[in-house]
Amino acid sequence: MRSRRNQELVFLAFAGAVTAGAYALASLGRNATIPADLLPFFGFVMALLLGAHLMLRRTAPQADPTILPVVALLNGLGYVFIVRLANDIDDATALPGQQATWTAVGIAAFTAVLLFIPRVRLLDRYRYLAAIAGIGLLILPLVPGIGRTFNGARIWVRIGPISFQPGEFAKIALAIFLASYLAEKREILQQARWKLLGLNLPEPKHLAPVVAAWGISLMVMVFERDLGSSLLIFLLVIVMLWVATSRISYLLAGVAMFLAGGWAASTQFAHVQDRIDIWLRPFDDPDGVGFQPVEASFALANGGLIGTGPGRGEPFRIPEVETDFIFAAIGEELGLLGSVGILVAFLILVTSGFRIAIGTRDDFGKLLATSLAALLGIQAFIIIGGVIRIVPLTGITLPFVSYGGSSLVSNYIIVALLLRISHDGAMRPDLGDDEANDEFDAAAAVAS
Amino acid sequence: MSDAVLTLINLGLLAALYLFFGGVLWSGFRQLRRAPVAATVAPAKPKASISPKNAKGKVTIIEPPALAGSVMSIGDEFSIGRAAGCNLTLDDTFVSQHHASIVWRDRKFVVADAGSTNGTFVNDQRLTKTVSLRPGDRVRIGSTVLEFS
Repeated sequence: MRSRRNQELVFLAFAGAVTAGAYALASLGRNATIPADLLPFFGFVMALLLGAHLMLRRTAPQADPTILPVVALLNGLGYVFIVRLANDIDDATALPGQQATWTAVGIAAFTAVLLFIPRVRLLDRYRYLAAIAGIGLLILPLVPGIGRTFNGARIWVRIGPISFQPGEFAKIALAIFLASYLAEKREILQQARWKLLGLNLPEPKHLAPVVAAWGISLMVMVFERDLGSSLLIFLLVIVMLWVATSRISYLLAGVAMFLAGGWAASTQFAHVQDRIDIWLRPFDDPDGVGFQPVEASFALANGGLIGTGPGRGEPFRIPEVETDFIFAAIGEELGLLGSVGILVAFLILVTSGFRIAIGTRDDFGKLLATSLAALLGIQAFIIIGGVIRIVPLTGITLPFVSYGGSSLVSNYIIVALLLRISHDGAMRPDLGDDEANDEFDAAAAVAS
Repeated sequence: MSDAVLTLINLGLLAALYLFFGGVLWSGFRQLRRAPVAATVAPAKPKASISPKNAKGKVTIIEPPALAGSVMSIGDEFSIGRAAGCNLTLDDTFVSQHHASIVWRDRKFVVADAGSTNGTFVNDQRLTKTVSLRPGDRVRIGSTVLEFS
């Protein structure tokens, strides 16, 4: 069935056209000229997307046709806003070039995943390696010498000339571990026999990974001051336990543990308490600590329903607007309609992920698709919720939209894995792939 | 260029954005309607990866009705379980990853439980040790019943 890929090509061309339109409009709005590099820009964007598309045709022809175009649109609009902001922010002229380079690296990673992971089931074997890699990457910034503190959060690692945020990759490793662990243990975890405070919980030894996740996320919060990643990992574990077992008690126990941990952290650690104060009362100190959220609120208000138009607002007043606050810039210049469009895009990504999970047969694939989709959704919720002040602000990127290399690459890997699972699920198990099955059976026989 | 024109272009851009979402959602909706859903409760379509030339016996699915009548050849070993690597993969919560195996041993077929949680039943007797199979015997695993022949 080639029609899925043909559909994808049409959608990709559409997403590329919208991106190029926004790029031209942003320049028109700012200085009334059509950018001279519009055609090379459009060509570069389309070449990258076409590369990813051709790779899918070759390696995963049955994969879902909606995911790549939506990702292309998010990445494209994000890039347009980064170019537009870089023109108005001092010391930011290098950002667009870097973002373009990282997009290319992201698509290279996307390609590599599709090429080197022919069946997602292969990842099931590396369960504990994934767990160790995930935890190792999370604590890597704490290692003296290579860890770097930036804006109060110790989440960077610098090795030689390359800096990156290992936490962005840790989340993928942890998602693989969780899917693999829960695919095997979910029956045991479903049978709750241990009663505590009126809740039916599984026996403590089966809960150990949950408690471990709680501990790790608290550690990330305390030692790295990275509230966003801490929240992301914890929510991922809770959501996955709930999905794997369909027992609401995990959700309740997780929320209780989070509230207890959060309350303790807010009384013990000043930086957590500050975040909560800024969230609830930013106007108490609009020129000091409240400056960023106050400017973001003004930006969103200035945007109104249809926005000022790209290039015609003043989103560059918000500190960190190209990373944490890019949603406010889109809200100002494309208005409520444009920012709801970003939400719709994430909604489509998450529902596509869940649709892939439904269409997949084996438990590991199902749970991995769910956890990857949940990662994208939770991360978007945490940062958008922070920008519009539904939840306390935690510095984390908006996937595909924000400026940031590690984030782009890791999210392209997530999408490649989702498409791989989608292709596996759409293949009828009794057609074609016998050779891979035999190889798997042989490996399983050796293992057992 | 006047503000009104720029606003018009902006509206056009937003319209194109939503047109794009409309198309993508429509495509997703069509996929969902067309694709068969692999539900967790329904047993997966079994795949027989034994080639006929080394087949020595066969099993026929009796229950569930959706799969009744499917015939699979058995070679030297035929594994049954929820794991994707089994010869017969059953997507059933009451089936363990490696639930049971039918093995050719001493010129006859025997069935052995592989330490499953919910047991393997031959003619409604729960297996406590390996037993040999005669044609017509019924093996029940979870909600699936197989007839050996």
